[in-house]
Amino acid sequence: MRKRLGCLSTSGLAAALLTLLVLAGVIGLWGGAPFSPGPLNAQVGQAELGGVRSHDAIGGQCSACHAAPWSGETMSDRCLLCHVDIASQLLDPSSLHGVLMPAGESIECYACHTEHQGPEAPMTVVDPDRFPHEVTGYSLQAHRQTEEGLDFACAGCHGADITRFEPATCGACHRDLDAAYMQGHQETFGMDCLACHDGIDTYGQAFDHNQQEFPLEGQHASLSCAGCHLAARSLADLQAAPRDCYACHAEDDAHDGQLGQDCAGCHTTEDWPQATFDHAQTAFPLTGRHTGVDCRDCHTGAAFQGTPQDCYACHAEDDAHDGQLGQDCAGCHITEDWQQATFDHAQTAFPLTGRHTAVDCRDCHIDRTFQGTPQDCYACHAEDDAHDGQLGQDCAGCHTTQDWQQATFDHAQTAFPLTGQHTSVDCRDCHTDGVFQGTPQDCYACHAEDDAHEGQYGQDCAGCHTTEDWQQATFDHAQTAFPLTGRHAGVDCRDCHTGGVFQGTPQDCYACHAEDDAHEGQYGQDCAGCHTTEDWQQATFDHAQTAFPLTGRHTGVNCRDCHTGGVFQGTSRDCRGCHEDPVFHLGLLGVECDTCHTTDGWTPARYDRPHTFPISHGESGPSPCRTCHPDTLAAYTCYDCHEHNPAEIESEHRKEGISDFEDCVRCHPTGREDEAEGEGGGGDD
Amino acid sequence: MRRRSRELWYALGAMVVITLVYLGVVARLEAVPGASDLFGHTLGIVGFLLMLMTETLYSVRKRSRSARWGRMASWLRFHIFTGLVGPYMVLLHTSWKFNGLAGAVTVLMIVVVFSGIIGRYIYTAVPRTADGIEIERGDLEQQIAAVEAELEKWRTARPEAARAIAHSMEELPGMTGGDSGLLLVLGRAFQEWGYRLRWWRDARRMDASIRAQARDLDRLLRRQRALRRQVSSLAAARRMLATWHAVHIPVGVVLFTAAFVHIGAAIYYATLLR
Repeated sequence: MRKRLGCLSTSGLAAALLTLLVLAGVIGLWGGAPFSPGPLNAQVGQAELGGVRSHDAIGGQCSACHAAPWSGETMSDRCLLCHVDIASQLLDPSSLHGVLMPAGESIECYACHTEHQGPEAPMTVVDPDRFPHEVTGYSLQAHRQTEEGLDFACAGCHGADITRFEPATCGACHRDLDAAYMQGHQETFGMDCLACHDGIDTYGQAFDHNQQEFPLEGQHASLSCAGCHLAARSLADLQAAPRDCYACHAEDDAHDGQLGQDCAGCHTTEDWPQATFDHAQTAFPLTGRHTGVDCRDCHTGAAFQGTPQDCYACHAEDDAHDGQLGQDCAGCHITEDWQQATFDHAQTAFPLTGRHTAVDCRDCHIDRTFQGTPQDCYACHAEDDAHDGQLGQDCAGCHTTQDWQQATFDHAQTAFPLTGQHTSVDCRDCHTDGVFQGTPQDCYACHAEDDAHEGQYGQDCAGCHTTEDWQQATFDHAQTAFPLTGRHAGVDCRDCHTGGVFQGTPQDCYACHAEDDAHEGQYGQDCAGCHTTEDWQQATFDHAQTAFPLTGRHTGVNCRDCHTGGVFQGTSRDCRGCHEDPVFHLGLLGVECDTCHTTDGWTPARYDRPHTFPISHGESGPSPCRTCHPDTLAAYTCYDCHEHNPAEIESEHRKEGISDFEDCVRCHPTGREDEAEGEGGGGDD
Repeated sequence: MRRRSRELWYALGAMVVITLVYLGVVARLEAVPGASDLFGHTLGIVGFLLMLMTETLYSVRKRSRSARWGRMASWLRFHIFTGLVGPYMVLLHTSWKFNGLAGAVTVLMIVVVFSGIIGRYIYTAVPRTADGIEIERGDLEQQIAAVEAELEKWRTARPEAARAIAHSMEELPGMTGGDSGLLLVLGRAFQEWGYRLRWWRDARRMDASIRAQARDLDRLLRRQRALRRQVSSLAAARRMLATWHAVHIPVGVVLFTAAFVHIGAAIYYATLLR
């Protein structure tokens, strides 16, 4: 049998029971005292609370403080049953407990008030690190350790009573740290440190004014607090310090209120005298050199409002025009540079053009006279008149403002319009000595020395010559007795009119063409009878007027082919004079070629003489002679146009017993086959 | 580290670690951690759980015949470990205040711990197998005979060495068990230390070669002495162990009963405190 566990053995159970009995007895006698973790506080209070003056007097009545978990009450509830004064404080937010334990928050009493630590142990043990001191309105964040590195104790500031605090306590410590500063500080802000300081140094050294609504910039940063926060004794006083410029700088207003009280609109905290006024916001924006002008130069006498805006108010003494051009200087002058006036002359009766635009005003408007300055050219250019007044004083009629030298005189308006090369001639070439009026207009006045005709044709050069090209004279020969036609038209005048002689120049051909006469005078000297001015070689002789009219192909023959050696008269009219009798004829047909032949062509020849054999033999009619007579007329053959050939003819004739069949005509005189009966050996047809 | 006291070393190491942690907490809090604080409370809970394990697990294991629960010797070592570390943690949990029932529980705990130490000392006087089963006299005498045979064998094999260390093999005067089995049980450690001290002195005078041969002899002699002591004190050891049980167990029950009451009160007055 297994042994039971020792704790379940008889002795074990007995021991357990005995223990429980003993404990029960102890509890019965002393209550919960056996469970106490330590003696209760025995300090006697001033008043009797809950029937006792100290916790120790409660003894073993643990339930006086310790509520049963199922009771619904807390230990704090039990505390307040006796400590009714604390219960009242909880309802008073100005009291310590009222601040520490505001309504709605549950902080148990034992969080601060401990017990069972012994009869003389403090009832309140507050961990400075855990005690929410800030709820009192003063945080201990900056009061963790002293200058010596020791932890702050509650008594260090509150003394024996932590519910009390004397403001002078602050000064007592801080004067030890910096007595001079504290003295000045307290004189400035008073002795109630808590009126401004909240323990987290909100308004101490870590205070950053720039995080507030009024950042300290420029010279404001170097001011002492009291410089602006006059007589401030609390945070409310500090925060109530005025923020507008005029509150502090009214006495600095050099404008006497003329520009309002918003000094910051122009002035900065960096430097009061250096105001940056945006003139662009006014009716007189500053431009050009106006921007660099000191304010006082215009706004004299510190007067800013109502300062005149017209130029003359400041620049009257600068008016070089002595008021001639009015007082609106801006019409010409700009603020960038007074000297650089930009007068729009185009708005005047004398717009500046060409080189007039680059002329200094004073060159024309002498002595500063602008109004009434003469507008005619001669007023300025009289000395430039090369014409000595011959052409009047209206220089602009010829000259332009672009270039004086380049006058553009419209000669067309004169009685002598310039044409051709005359247009490029310098005026002085014709108008010598500066004489323009009355200059001769005839050609000879200028071109007498150019007259190659030595006056033969008068002095009206223009009759032949043009202003385009002197050399190219255009003489109308058609007006003469010798109109120029054909190639005569392209001949240089001098080729005919040699020696510069034009009048009386011979008009006959031979005068010029004698050396060209290939006929050596045979046909007289009237070359024009055959030759034309179009082409000398192409003579057009009417052969029909001769005893030998040219017909047929004779018409296309070159003259020299017949008239050899340049002989035209007496040329033979016999055909044989040009045409040899061909061997074909064998001299049988005589010398009258035209009996058979025509000038249209040697072939086809037309033979009208009697022929031993019908020439029209055959279906095609008359055949050319060479068809039967291929070589000469002395012989003939029938084979060239017959379909049969010598071998077949021989064979056929031999069949017929004909042996002599060479002379076909002998048997066939007319070319018929049936004519051969009885001839040459016979045979049936 | 001796294998036979391994649990003691483990317990010592754990207690050192716990102590260091405790000191660290003290340094951080700049005060002794209260019993009801988080750290103090944790010490108490963990320590008590270890004590419960000490109280129950080994006893349950002793009554189990199944080998699958592990060797008894292992459970005993675990029992000793938890029996030392647990109470130490509870001691730290007290925040060195010994008021009321909590203080009484602390005293009881210390008594039970020391009782346990004594009980272990007595327990080891009873020869047991590795499974914790007591060895009977007959078995002991057989083991003694076997050891003495090995001793004789050794002496025969090394006659010169045997002669050189014959003095070390003699019994110390006044070290016989006699009727004072109680003294033998309680004083066996001192006796053994006396033998070992003599052996150490003698070994210093031995030649190096003989000293090297004598190591086996030392082991045999120790074994012989242990067996003889066990035989001599077997009855006394058993009686003492039984007596110890009769004291230790009730005191332990009282301890745990009071501890549970203390825990109940702590829960009532502290844990559930609002």
